[in-house]
Amino acid sequence: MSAIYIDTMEDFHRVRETTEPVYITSKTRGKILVPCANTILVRTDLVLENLYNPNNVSPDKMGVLLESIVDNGFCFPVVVIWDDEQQRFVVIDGAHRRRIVGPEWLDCEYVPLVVLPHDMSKRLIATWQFNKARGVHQVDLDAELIRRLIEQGVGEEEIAAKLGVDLDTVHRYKQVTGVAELFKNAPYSMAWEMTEVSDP
Amino acid sequence: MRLVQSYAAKKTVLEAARDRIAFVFDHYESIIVSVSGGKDSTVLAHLALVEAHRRGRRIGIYFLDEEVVYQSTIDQVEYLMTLYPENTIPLWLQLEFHLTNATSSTEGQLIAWEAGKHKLWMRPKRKGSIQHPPWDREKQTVRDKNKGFGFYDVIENFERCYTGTAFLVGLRAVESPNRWRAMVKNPIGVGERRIYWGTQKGANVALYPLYDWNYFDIWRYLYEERVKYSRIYDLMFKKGYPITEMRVSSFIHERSFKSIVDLPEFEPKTYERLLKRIKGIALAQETGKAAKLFRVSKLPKNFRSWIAYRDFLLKTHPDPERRPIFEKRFARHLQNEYVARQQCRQLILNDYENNLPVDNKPDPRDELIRYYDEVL
Repeated sequence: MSAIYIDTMEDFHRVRETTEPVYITSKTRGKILVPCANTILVRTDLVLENLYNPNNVSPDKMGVLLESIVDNGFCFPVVVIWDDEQQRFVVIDGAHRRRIVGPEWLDCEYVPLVVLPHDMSKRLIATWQFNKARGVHQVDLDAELIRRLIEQGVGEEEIAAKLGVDLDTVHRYKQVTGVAELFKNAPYSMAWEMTEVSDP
Repeated sequence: MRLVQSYAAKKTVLEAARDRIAFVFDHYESIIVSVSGGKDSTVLAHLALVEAHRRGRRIGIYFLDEEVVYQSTIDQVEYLMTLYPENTIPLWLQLEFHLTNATSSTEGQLIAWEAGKHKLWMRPKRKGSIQHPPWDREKQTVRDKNKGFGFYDVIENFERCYTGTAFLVGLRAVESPNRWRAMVKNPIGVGERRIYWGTQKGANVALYPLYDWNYFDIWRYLYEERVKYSRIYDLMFKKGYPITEMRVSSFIHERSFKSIVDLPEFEPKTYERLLKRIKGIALAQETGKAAKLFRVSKLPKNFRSWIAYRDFLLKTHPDPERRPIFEKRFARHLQNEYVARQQCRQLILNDYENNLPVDNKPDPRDELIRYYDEVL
């Protein structure tokens, strides 16, 4: 199957008419649409960010996203709807992946999209669902992952750069023996007690 | 005469603490160490247990189990209770009592170990724990009938079951300067000596043998003696918490709801249990970090003033029984933005118990504005 490139909105309307929706079947919830099976490559300037995305990604995490795309490829298409009024695609999930193909980062001519047929309220809900339905990393598993990278011979600087954390964090995660060991050479303080003295 | 801190003894805090604990063993038949699962009480319990072991004595290790705590806290207390079993009288209290839940506005209070809810409890009760009040129910006291039988009520009623007992507590002066200053004013006589590191509590005494320790002394001891400590400290360290700010507290009190924010990363299983246990926890986890809701430091965009926001919160308060409590309290307060912001905080935290009292004074900003008006 060859990739579908979209350069103009006419391209998109033509493609939309000929696209067959793809489904998988769930034993518990029935037919489930698989929009990512119909991913298209769209000219970046046809895709707008939404204005309501509450998800905030810090600059260091943008760096991790960039490294991830360079290392692993673009694995997750940006999710959009087609906005007839603006005659543009509007992002509902993947605002940062959209930004990363922009001129200040990767500067790509095309960006992979999946297009959903959602109205405004469904869009807002979808944005929330995409952002919230994500796990957080358990701290000790993060530590384990970093420890294994070090065992594999990956340098601390490289780990810091690839994971988007500072060296201090790598050192903290590397430290497996715990907080108490940091104090092994700390001398004990001198004891004091309350004593009554007469005023001079 | 005045009181000063004297370093004349020229001992380390460890030597001094061992002396103090030996002194307690010399003067008290009955000794009970209060533990929380935190690092300070861990050190204290260890020092006391080592001394008990040396003398072939038995001491109580006392833990008031709030049910809604880190699993690591439970593991830690279990460790302390079984370190020297032949020298330990386990006093693990798992009784029904009321806790304030700051994270839900409809479920104002959580009842720890609530009867009939055993399927929802964070974990089953421990074998051999104290599950029924050991005191006379007729003589049971309650500080505040409106709040119900609370945390401090359990402590007070439990302590009254004893006489002439030394309760050892891991309080440190640098951590709690106010409590320390209050205590120093009331020294107690033990044998020939006047003791400044303790207070009389009814028929018993509370003693603080680690009062002069610093946090690094605690860590040094834990390292040197190879004493286990709650793994939450290591996780907090990995998360980049400053070492001096690490606390192992309960989740649902007004002052500690922040610890829920990191709970999914520290103990996902505990977090899942907690979600089922208390309504509102999920909200606190998502917004605890956002200054807007729980710290109440930023006025929401759609309100012009804290007073307007307060009136809105009061009008829409979901609990009709609690609303008058707030209305009555606020009626006594000054009308200004400074006070109104704090009132908003009380409303959002559902702090009808007034745990975080409102600093009722003229808005400091008004004074500043007046000052500049005059100067300019």
